[in-house]
Amino acid sequence: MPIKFIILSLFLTSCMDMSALSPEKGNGNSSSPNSTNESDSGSNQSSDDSSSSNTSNNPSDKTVIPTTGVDPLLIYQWHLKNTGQSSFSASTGTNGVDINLDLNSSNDGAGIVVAVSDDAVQVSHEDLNSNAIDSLHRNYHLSGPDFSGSPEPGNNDTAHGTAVAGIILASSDNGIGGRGVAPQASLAGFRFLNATQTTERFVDQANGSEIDIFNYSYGYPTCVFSAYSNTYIAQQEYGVNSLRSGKGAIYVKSAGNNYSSSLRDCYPTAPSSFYYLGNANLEAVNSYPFSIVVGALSAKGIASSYSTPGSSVWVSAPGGEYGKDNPAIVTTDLEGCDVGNSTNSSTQNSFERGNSLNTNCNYTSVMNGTSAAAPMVSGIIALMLKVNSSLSWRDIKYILAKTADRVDSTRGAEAHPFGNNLSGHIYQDGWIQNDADFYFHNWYGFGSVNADAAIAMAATYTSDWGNMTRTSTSSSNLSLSIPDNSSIGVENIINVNSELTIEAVQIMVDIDHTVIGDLGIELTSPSGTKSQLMMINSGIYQTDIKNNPLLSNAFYMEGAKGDWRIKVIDGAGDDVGTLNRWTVNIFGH
Amino acid sequence: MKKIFTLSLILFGFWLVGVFYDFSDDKEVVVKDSSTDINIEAKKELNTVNKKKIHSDAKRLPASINNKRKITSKSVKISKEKFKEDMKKYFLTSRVGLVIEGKQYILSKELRAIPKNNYHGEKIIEKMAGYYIVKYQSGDDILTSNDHIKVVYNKSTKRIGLLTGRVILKANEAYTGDNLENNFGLTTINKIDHLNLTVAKVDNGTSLAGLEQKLKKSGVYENVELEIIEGEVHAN
Repeated sequence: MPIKFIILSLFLTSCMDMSALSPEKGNGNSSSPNSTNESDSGSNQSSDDSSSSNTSNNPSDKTVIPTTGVDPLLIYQWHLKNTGQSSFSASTGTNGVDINLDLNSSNDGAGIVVAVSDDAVQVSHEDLNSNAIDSLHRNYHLSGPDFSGSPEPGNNDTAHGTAVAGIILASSDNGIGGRGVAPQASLAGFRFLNATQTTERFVDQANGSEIDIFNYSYGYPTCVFSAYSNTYIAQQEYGVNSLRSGKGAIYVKSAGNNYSSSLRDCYPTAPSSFYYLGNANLEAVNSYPFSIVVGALSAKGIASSYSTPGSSVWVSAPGGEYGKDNPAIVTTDLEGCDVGNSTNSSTQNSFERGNSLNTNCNYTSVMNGTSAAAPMVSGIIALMLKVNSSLSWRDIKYILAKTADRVDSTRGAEAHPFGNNLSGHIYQDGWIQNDADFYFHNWYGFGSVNADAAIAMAATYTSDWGNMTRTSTSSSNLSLSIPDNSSIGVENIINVNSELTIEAVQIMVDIDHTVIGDLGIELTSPSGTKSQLMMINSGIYQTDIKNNPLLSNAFYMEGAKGDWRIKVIDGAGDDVGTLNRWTVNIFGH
Repeated sequence: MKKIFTLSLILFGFWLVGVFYDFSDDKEVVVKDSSTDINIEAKKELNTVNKKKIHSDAKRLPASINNKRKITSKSVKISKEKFKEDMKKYFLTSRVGLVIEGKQYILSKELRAIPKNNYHGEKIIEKMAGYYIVKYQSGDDILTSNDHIKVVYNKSTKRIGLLTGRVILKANEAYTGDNLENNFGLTTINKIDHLNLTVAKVDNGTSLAGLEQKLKKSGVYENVELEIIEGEVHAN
């Protein structure tokens, strides 16, 4: 009985916390606790207008925003040139925090085809239509197997895909809107997300010899291990091996917006105060090396409040915040003031309500998310391919990693966000430097993309890595008990007898445990680099891990040969389990 | 505060019921299972999600706020018990299980899924990945009646999914025959040539129990995948 009273007390405390939380709960448009309310056009406008003093007509000066191109919203696109503008929000960003792109460059990505697979894409939009290739669009609301058709939004579709497309390739120098990262790249719009999500459709939207880059600004919530079809994974492997004339299709994928999310993402009847901590690694498609997984950065150059971390993240790019209190991304919106994000009834800011800069509500200032970060990278890759079309998918990944900037470089170890720490255990390591001198962080991957550095390196880059090789080494059957609520954990070693240089490390674990969310999983390489693939006390609510891959990029370019050590830590009491078996898969050359 | 206390007592009552509930953990293909714990009726809340928003409510908040958010296993278990009773009416009456790729599922006899394009006004219990889950009273053998998309419950993730009745097959390279799958009670509906895949539909009357194993043991197929849709991808 005393135990029950203790649990009752805990539960009542939980209920009281629920009421305490209510003010900032609800949709993402709510203000953060320390922020001020949105001010109207006056103050915001003056702040943004101040950025216009940094404009110049000197095309040789890449430090300033060109005005000759007449993209009237360009000065609000901080992700392209951050001058500390507010971009219609209540606060400003940090000067210089952007993708570092020469806006006066003649490289416009022309001829590179980017597929935006999303809910829908308004390819007729005034700032997109000149780049749209009608013959390449697809509509997965059709019965198939030929899905050729218009990707224009229908019922229940939103402005999301249109905003994503604008970030990549909105036209420049046309006197309207802003511009995309690669303003002359070609657009293939796929209307996908709200169709029946069958395996055949997943496969089809990852296939196509005409497509260079596939942008996926979508994903599963990571409150459980997601169940992507193995057939879809096989399609991505086919894509990187066979598409783009054998150089490999480029799959760019958003990491997710589940840094901490309501458990209702998976269990709609869970109490409203129950949250989980997302992990990009729980989406199986992220846990193979075929995708470039992208995290989001704010206009101040730190991880966006929502960005899902994970050792499968490759790089980070601007994704912004919510656009009301802090800058979001300015991009294309569904045309008209009765649809999309900018509408006459918007409560976000004056721009969204169709002020003098947005009279037809064809643009938005509140696009955000890793959905916004991924297309930044897709655009940069289009510019890289424009200067060197022979780059393989592995070359692209290498260059992005090699040229990324180590943002937020002084950030150290992090405690558990909800206070569920475990004595003797570091919840989240800070930046690590691996044995091949790559820096890595679960929030940022290899860091913030640096467009000009990547394009410059791409221009002359050649590699001789040969085919990607995969080795697989498994433990015996172990049945090792995982010590409950203890940082000691259980460890096991697998010796890998391979001379491969690592491009990615994937593990497959077989664990039974009544609450998988208690567990953290760490992997240490023969070189001594430690990577955290799962974090303790995440709130994940399933009872085993079987055939679910976990990936780490932290060992990039290290040697594979030697002892690999797994450590499984149980961060909470009461529930117990066993490590039954594990396998380490090395992808490399 | 009074309301909160009353609510707490009610929920605690549900929890007490759960404490004395008998859990079984069957391992056979056809299982009798009572360890079910979600409330599909309440999942209608999903439908209220504003799909137009491009924001997330996930945040890196100050510790003073985040500390109030609960993710401990104890609290999760309490919530799980709360919904046990409602779960019965959709899955527990069936008591029919299936193992697919080593994962245990329970089939519902009282739910089915239809593509939203085929929707004709039935009461919607849930929406998922372009399908609507509706009530459906079946008197048929749930394992052999394949004229509708089945709704399943994943015992590990404790979430529902859709068993579409489609099988994706990859034949061994040595096999050169045509449509052998038809001999297994399947009908070919599509080919994905570049991956050397056949998409087949399970015929009515073909039992799902052991089908995956039967196809794998045939020696013809390198890979067999019974399509299950669990959750849906959404814009980030």
